[in-house]
Amino acid sequence: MNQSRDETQSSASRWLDDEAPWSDELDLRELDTLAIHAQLQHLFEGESEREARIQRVISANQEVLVTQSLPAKPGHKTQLHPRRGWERRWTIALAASLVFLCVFGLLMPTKQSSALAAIEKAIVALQQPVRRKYEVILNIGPMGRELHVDLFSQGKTDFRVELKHFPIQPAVIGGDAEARWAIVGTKRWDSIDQGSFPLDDVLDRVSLRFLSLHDVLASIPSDYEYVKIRGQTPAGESFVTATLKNLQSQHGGANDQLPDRIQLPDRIAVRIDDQTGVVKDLKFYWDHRQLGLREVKAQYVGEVDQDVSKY
Amino acid sequence: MKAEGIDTRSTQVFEVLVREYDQMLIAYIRCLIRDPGLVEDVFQETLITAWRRFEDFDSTRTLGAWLRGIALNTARNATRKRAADRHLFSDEAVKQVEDVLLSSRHRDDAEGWSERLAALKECLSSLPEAARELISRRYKRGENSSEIADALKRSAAAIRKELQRTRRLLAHCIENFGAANLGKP
Repeated sequence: MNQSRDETQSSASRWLDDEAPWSDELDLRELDTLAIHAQLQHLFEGESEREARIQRVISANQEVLVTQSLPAKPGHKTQLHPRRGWERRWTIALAASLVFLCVFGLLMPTKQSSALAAIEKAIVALQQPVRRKYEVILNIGPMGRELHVDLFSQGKTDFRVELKHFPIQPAVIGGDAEARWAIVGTKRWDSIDQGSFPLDDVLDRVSLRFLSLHDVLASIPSDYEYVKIRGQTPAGESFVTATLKNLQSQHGGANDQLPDRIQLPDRIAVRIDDQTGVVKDLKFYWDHRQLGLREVKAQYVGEVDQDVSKY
Repeated sequence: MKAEGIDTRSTQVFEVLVREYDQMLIAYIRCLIRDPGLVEDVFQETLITAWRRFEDFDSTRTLGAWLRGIALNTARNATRKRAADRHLFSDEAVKQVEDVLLSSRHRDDAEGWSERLAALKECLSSLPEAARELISRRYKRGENSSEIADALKRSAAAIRKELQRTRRLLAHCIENFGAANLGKP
């Protein structure tokens, strides 16, 4: 009995680890590590390979968007993989473009409403069980007194705003020495494409603890437009949370490049090197429901000067 | 102009869909198909099919399960002529794949998958050095058990056994993430 089990296991692992042909003797129950096998493959494939795969799928979908007005031939199967049959895809895309131009006026209303319906459904679907974190990272300038906000989308910088020389008067609007937390805010956030805020004015030496941003936000006066909360996790890791209130209302006028779904972030976190005081990164987090469907990310660049090292 | 905006939004929505479910879908398809090129094709076609058929999606179901259903059909079609992988598509086999893939305390959504990968990373770092090297050779360098056996001057059967044991350890660690301490008695 034991020998038989060993043989089966050997057969299962030969299939997994030696790319041996499938054996009908193999008991599927022995493939109990299949999921780990698949996850290990994923883990080791590398970010660039993963990104390349994602980009290939997105490109293929864009081709589908172009070619969707072409009537499908019965039994015809289009190979979408960019590495295969690309010449034919280009031909199809070109033909589709011509057809599209010819029938543009007729198809557009249907296509538009269908696309909108699909988007709405996709949004609902994506909002379902998912709580994905999106991130924007504020790039702290060389003097530690200015921030660059990069919003990334589809792997490219979508929008960049520089916050410079914007005098604000931060005020402590909440806090508790015993509980070791504090809220600092400003009543002005006049123009986000011109403003800046001095980190070293906002951040002080107060040692803070992690707390729920939602709880904190509830205590913020409504006329405060920018709020920063500095804290420390129970493990002693420094962080800063901040809220750009009414950010959504800031765009649409002077700067129509600003993504149309940016809203209040769930959380903004800063990691600070305890030894050097250097800010390592600063991230904004949203979830689907708050951001909509835009993924934004950026990373900290540049050195922080000594003024900031005090925290 | 408006249509262009819609297409841009469509692309954005699609991109989010791809990024959300990339990890789960790839792992699922890799459980069904072994050929890496075919895995990518099936992954791609699954998402594009899903995108085209979004209007058919029953929003009372979870998106992950719906996507896996499409992936399974796509994989079946893709391997129809390939005897090597056909066995995995019997009802019993598919159920087995779902069971092993989803048997975890982590949630069956995109973030749950990220958590699993993060847990796997942690668990890997807890492995004894020898086991880590084995995993690295197998998955990072892509060596099969015979090649590893040659390099380590051991038998291929012993390597396969060790790999299987290590994967079980990792599975156990992920299940009990935070409590398990691999490599210790």
